[in-house]
Formats: sequence, structure tokens, C-alpha cells
Amino acid sequence: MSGSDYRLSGDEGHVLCGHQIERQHGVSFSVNGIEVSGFKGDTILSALLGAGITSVGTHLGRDLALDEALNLLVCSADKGPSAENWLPIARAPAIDGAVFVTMNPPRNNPISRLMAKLSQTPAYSLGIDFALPQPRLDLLAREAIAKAIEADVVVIGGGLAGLTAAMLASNAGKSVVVVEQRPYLGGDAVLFGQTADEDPPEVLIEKLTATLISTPNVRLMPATQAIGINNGSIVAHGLDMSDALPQGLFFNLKGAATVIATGGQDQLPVFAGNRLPGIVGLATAFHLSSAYGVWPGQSVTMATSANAAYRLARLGHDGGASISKIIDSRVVPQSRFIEFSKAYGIVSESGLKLENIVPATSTARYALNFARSWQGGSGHIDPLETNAVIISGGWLPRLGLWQQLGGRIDTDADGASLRPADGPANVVLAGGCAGYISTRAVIDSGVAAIEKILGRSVREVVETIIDPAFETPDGPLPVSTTASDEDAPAYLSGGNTLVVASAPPPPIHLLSSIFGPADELEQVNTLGEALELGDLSALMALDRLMPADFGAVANERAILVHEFEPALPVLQAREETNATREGLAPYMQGRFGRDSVLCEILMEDGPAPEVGGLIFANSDISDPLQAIGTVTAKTEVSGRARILLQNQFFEAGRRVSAHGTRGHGTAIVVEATMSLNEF
Amino acid sequence: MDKIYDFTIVGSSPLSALLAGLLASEHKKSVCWIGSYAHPLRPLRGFDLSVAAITRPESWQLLRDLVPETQRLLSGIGDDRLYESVDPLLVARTRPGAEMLSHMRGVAAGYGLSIERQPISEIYVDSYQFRDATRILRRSLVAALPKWLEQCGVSVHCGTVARPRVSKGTFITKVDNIQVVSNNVILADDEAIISHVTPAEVTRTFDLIATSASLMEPGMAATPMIVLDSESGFLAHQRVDGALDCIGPFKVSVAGAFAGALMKPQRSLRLAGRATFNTLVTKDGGTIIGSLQRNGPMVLAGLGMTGAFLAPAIARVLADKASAFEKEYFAARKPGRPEVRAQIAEYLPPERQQLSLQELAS
Repeated sequence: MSGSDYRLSGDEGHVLCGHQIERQHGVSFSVNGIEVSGFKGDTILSALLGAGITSVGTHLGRDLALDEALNLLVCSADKGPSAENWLPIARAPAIDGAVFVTMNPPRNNPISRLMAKLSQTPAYSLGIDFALPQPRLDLLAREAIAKAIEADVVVIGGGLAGLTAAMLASNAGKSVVVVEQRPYLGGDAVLFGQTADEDPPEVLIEKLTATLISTPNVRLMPATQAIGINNGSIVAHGLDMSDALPQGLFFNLKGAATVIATGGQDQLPVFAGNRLPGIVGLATAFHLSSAYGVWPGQSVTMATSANAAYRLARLGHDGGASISKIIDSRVVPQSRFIEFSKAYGIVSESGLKLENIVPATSTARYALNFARSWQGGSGHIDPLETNAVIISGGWLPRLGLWQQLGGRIDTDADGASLRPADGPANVVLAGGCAGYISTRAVIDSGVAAIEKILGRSVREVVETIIDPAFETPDGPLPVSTTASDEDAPAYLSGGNTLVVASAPPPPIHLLSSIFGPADELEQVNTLGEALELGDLSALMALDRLMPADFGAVANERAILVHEFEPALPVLQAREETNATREGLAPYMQGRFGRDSVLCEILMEDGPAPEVGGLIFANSDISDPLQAIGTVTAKTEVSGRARILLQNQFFEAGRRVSAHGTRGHGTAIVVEATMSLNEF
Repeated sequence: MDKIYDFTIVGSSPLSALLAGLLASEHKKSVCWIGSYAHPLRPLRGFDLSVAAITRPESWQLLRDLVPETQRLLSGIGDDRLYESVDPLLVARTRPGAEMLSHMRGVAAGYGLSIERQPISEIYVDSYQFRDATRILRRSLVAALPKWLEQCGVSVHCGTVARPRVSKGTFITKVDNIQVVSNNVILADDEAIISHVTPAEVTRTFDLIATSASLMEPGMAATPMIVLDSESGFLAHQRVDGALDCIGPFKVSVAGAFAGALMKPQRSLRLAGRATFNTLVTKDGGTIIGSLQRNGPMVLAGLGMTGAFLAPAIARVLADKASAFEKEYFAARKPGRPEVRAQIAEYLPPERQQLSLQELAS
């Protein structure tokens, strides 16, 4: 580490050198009044994290990690908060001199600002209360004008699979658009390294990128995120960099065929405190360190069930970071990466999973509490103190867009992994989101995707599987359900849904079962918040969602978010019939026998007649079953009303009892209007 | 030789499961229940409330007698509370709707229901609050059903079921290749009827209503409330966590906007879940209990939100133990009655959207 606690030294040529930043060119800007220094090439997010601002603010009263998955948007203070002016901090560049604000910024009064200055404690939080609404790109897209882009093939994801697919489609003479949400191409392949005789992924990416940049029928769109579907088009959000301050651009991407190559996403192990500031997912940690040299802090612990964590540990160690320990939830994991990290002197321990993260009593930021991850495991485990944790619960194929385009998703028998099932004919999956891991298989899947689109014979994609004796497969998602009320929330996933993994309700006390709010018992398991696939995967690991239910629940709950302004449905014009013209709806027509009479009454005493009020033969009767008629309409004459009456009770001058909400009174039947038989 | 059940009940609604359990436990019938347990994360596809837009006095009388009985039944199922007391608000946006509510109020009040007329609002022409109605906690009930049905001795099959066929006076069906033989088959919810009755027969007897069920995110802490729109049958239920369950014949976007407008104060809502499906209404709005065709399975339809509360009476009718009033009530509600001026006609919400299920999801 050098410079700050949150940047690696960045030796040239090192994988974690920060290939996107120019360290010789500093930039300064502010967010919510907090001054931030970074480097040219930084995103707003990487500059914030590099400056030690690791908290976005609070959620449920506890600190919440500033993370790329939150998709936080900022707006230049000079511009209005229109849809185009909101910028995602994970993609928008840090601009020297810019003044950014978020929606619902903290209410900073002058005294608290002065106190903060006097205390000389550097800010670590943007201070946003996440209980208050934040803008979302998918919702902003509805009010923005989107630019239409058409191509023969739209490729979503600029990793190895997506770039390979783009190259092959281009070679076949197709026009291609490649959308990649990160500001650079390549995806996460470099994190996984090469296997056996494969070419290093970084070399392959460099070659593919260099070729595609100079190919006229290929349009590469880095820093552009696919955010949803609209009428069959993919809605994407990119950045217009032509001005000093970038501006958001919405696109409607329409392709004759679509390749989804969105890769995999980190699964967040479920334990109390899993989204505290300084707790970072493995893929995010790799992306931030390789592109921007940003590291979660000094003295980092890793908690993983995936082999790739050991590779990042070695790379981090190589880059000057201090890795205090790697804790693996698998019992006796084997991997070439483990051997490499051991050779670097990185200490590791297996068979433990995180129970919770709590504030440390010493100078360290956190104390990590562990439990044995194997059945029957017991015995005291000393807490581990650390400043930051890189966590990984394995990989989940990123299939949200596939699902929105109509693709189905299956799960294996024990719910440990998701996989794509059948989908639309013109949408093809490739790479990590299709379940491929090795570089060779990822590349071949990109080729196979285009072969399928072109109607050629499709090559078989063969996954390189290393014998488990040498390479233990990634373990199941570690989950812990022992959180207490004092603990920080345990979130279900690392996405922007922020759903807390509450435990199912305990057996209820007799008194509470009688007097308690019963609905609360229901809502605990119902989760009223929008969910994403990562949340559902975690619920399966927690045994709160069975694999058999996954498909239906995913289809109905892991959906595009919409927001609706209050409005009444427009009442439709109704067909009038004789009966409705006479004020008799169908439900009323046989109400007092088929040959009822429409007639009028005049109140002799009591309250005015009410439409809907019941008519009885006399005031001693009030059983609705014995009603002989009902008031159907008032007339212009006070105290006079039209009624529907059983035929046998019709007789001019007859006295009846008319009941309403204000009591009852005597009325005289005065004249017949029409027999129902006349309809 | 296959076991011949007295009854096979097909359907996943609370009514179907309660009916199966009652027939087996109270009436000692051999019963096979073919249905599924909806996961609590899925949007609610139905709502079980002891009040609805009902205009017939005999229907209110039946409910008056059956709600306490159903409460006792629910208290004996599982360890959790399975029902709660609620004060639903029934609203009318048009003059005819208001007249129906007024008539309904007059009838229901005659059976001791406490009903308060509410002040006129910008949205409603008229509205009435029903006090102390009973809502079945459907998700909790579903969680308790497997154990209860087992205790009742019901044979439970969750799987894909084939259309029942009749052979030598018995019904034969298959669930995931397991043959089920019974003397009577009862299609006890709309989905079962749509799946197992010929489309021609369905459309002759019913109108299919494309319906959406949606879940809206909790936006703020809120008082639980239930609003039922008499023009459409749309229902919005705001839970204690502020999330809303909505069911009705609208596109999801219309349902979300409507539910937001019905809340106090009005607010924008974000979608958290949605499902679309067809529901059935009878031509005259009344209940149907009986076979649509000779030797066909019996259907239970048009019971609306109050259906589950009728389970004890329907079980008695099926077991030939019903009271004279119950017998008369259900005998009048057999299929094939005249469509016009039916003596059992109930109010039919007039608002419907002629949309496909796919269109409804947007």
C-alpha cells in the first residue's frame, strides 16, 4: 500500500495496478459537500472509496457500505435533477472541480459542519438516509427520451464471451452493438486466471478489443448499462462525454438477435453485518483494484467459499496489501490458488463461516465472529479483528435480463445453483451467465451463440473440469441465521434491493396469538420489497424457498421495478338496457320475485326514504329475508320514492314500513309505474 | 385394485382445502385433495373476507351463521392465528354502485353487521366501512394446511392433474401418473374449472375475467386497511409493513395507480411482484354449485371472497348433513338456472378490461 490506506501502490504491469487511472493527474470534486481527491480516470465511486468514504449513509439505522451494486446516482449541483442529469457514480468519471449532490442529501447544519471540521476526522460517509427515496435509472428511463439503436446483433456484456460473439458476428458481416456497464471491456475473466495451456485472459481481451475497435460494423459502448426492457427493446443507459460534465443518455437497443453475456455476480454470504462499510464482494474488490488501484483498507481479511478469493489474495499481497487471513467455509478445500497463496505466506483456515461482524473493542474497525461450517462442528473460535473484509459466497449467473426477455430459469435439485432454461429463439446466452467457467468454454460459448444465431451447426461447448481432488468446487452459499437484535442487518444479496434476511417467526406465545397483530406473522415470510435473483438464491440457501417453488416465485417476484403515480381507472361506458334505464340493475331484477312491480311510495312519517333501503310489510318486521321491496330511486317530490315491490303486496293506499340508515317510517303505496313483466 | 375415494377435491384455494379436510374429519369421508401450496412470496391470487358486495339476504344469513363456525375451524388448524378482525371499506365511484352499496348495507345491517357510512371523498361517490369483518390469513393458512390435512386423513397430491374421465360411475384422474379413482370429483376453484372443463362449457356458464394480482413495496409505516371497489371488484390491502396486496381486473400499472389513489394519504407505489390469471364470474353473479354437464364433475364457482367461509355448509351439503336452510340455499344455486331475473342473482362489478393475460402484466 502507498499513498492512502485505500489505494494499492500500482506498480506498472501488475494486475492490480489501476489500469484506468493516471496517478500523476489528480482531480478534486465534492459530493454532498464532502471534498474528494482522486485521479484522472477514476469513477466518482472509485475516487470516493479511494478517499476512504466507504459508507453511503444509513439504512435501518446502521451504516451501509458504499458499493457499485447500489447504483447510487448523483447530479451536478449546477444542473437540474432531470432524468439526463442523474449520473451513476459507478460509471461516471470523477471530474475536477465538479460539485455533485445526491437526492435527499444529509441535512448538514452549519454547527455540525463546523464540529466535523474541528474534529479533523475525515468523512467516511455520504450521510444519506436510505429510508428516503433515491432515483433509479429504470424509473428515470420512463421520463427520458431514448435514442434508438438498431443492429443485427446486440451483445450485452463486454467480457470474453461477449467480445468473442461480437467478433464472430462481425466477421459474418453483421452489424453489432456491444454494451458493457463498466467503463472498460474485459469483464472478470482476469480474476479467474488461466487454466493449464490456455492463453492468459488479459492477452485474449487485449487482442479482441484492439480488433473490434477498428472494425467498422461494430459499435462498442462501454460505461453503458442495460437497465430493462421496453416493448421488446433493451433499454440502456450510457454517458455522453462530449461536455466537460457528462450527461446521461438513454438508448433503446433493438437487435434481430441478442447475445446475453452478462457473466456472473458475487453471491453475498448471509450474516449480520454483511453490508457494513469496508465489507466488499470479491468481484467488486477485484474490479476496483485492477481498474483503479482501490483496496478496501489496511489489514484485510477474506471470507470465502470460492477459489478465486485466493487468487485475489495473492494478487493483493503482490500489490502491497496486507491480507491478515483467509477463512474458507469449505472443510478441506484444494486449489492451485490456495497453494500459491500459501507460498506467499498468507494464512488460511477452513471449515469456518462468518456468524456476524460487530464493532471491535481495540483499534481495529471490526471483530469477526465465526462458527464451524460443518455439521456437528463446535468449540470456541476466537473472534478475528480486522479493518475490512472481502467476502465471497460463490457465483450466481447474472440472468436478470434473460428473465426479463422471457427466458426461464431453473435451479438444481438442492437449490444451490441457478441455470438458464428455455427462452426466446432470438436471445442466446454465452459465458458466465450460461454457466461456463473456464476461459476456453467461455470463448467457445461466445462462438456457439453466434453459430446458433446464424443458423449454422453449433459447436459443443466443453467445460474444462479439474478433478475435485485438485480443485475443490466452490462451496454453497454460507448463511447464518443467529443474528440478534443488536446486530447490523443481514442482507440477502449485494444488489440494490436491500432486503433483510429476517428469520422466520418464532413459535408465538398464547397471549400474543390472541391479541397480537396477526398480520405481522405473515409479513415476516412475505417480503414486500422488490426482489432480485440473488435474494431468491439466498432464500433457498436459508431453506425459506424450495427449489420446486423457485421458478414461479422468480417469475412473479424477480421483476422489473415500476413506479405508479396515484390515478383512478377510467370508468368504461356501459351498455344500458331497459332494466338499467329504469334503475334496476340485473342483481335487482329478480330480487323480489319475477313479477315484481315498480311503484312509488309517499312517506307518512319517519326519515326520508333512502335508495337501497328495505321495505317491510309492517314495522314489526326487520328480518331482511322478509323484506317485500326496496327503494330504487328518489323522486322530485319530497318524501316520495320509487320502489321495487313484490307483486302480491302492491295495492294503492297500502301502508308499508320503509327502513334506512336513519331509522324507519310508515309509507303509503301510491301508484304503480311498471310491472317487470313489461320489460 | 385402486382405492375408490368418496371425494376428489381439485383446487388450491382455501375453500378447496378446508372442504377436503372437513369432509374427511367431520363427515368421515375418504378424500383425495389435489392442489398446491402457494409459496408466501408469491402475490396473493385471492382474498378471503367475510364481507363482499353481496345483495341477497339469504347469502348474508348464511355468512352470519358460518363465519363463527369457520373461525372455530381455523382456530383448530395449526399453531398460528389464521384469521384476524378487519374493517374493510367498500367504495362506489358511480351512482349505481352507491345504490348497490346502500342496498347491501340495509340487508347486511339486518343481520347485525356494524356498518358506518363514511364521508364523501374526491374519489368515491359513497363508501361504507364494515366493522369487525374476518379476514383469513391465507399465507399462514397455507403454511398450516399440510399438517392439518394429514391429521384429517386426507390423501394429498400436489402435481399435474389430468382431466377427470368417467368410467362405470366413478371418476378416474391421474396426478403425475398416479391414478386416483373416486365417486365424486369437485372442481373447487376457478383454476381447476378452467383446466378441467371444456372451454365451450366454461364460456357458456361463466365470463372469464383477466385478473392481476400485484404486490406493491412498503413505502412507509401505515395503518392496515382494506379497500374494495364495488365498480370493479378490485381490492387493495395495505399490510402493517406498508406493502400492498392488490387483486382485480386491471393491468398491473392501472392496479398500482388505483391502489395508490385509494390509500390515505395518496402515494406513488412501486411494484414488488405480479401475477396474472383468469377468474370466473357467473352470468348472474350468483354462486354455482353442481355439475355443468350430466355425469360431469361438480363445480364450485362464483363464491368470491367469501367462499372459504362457506366450506362447512358445502361439506354438509356434500355429506347430506345440511340444514334445511343450507339445502335450500345451495339447491337454488345449481347450474342451468335462467340467466335473466334470476332469483339468486348477485351484484356483478361492471368494470372489466378486455385484455389478454400478457397485456395485463404490463
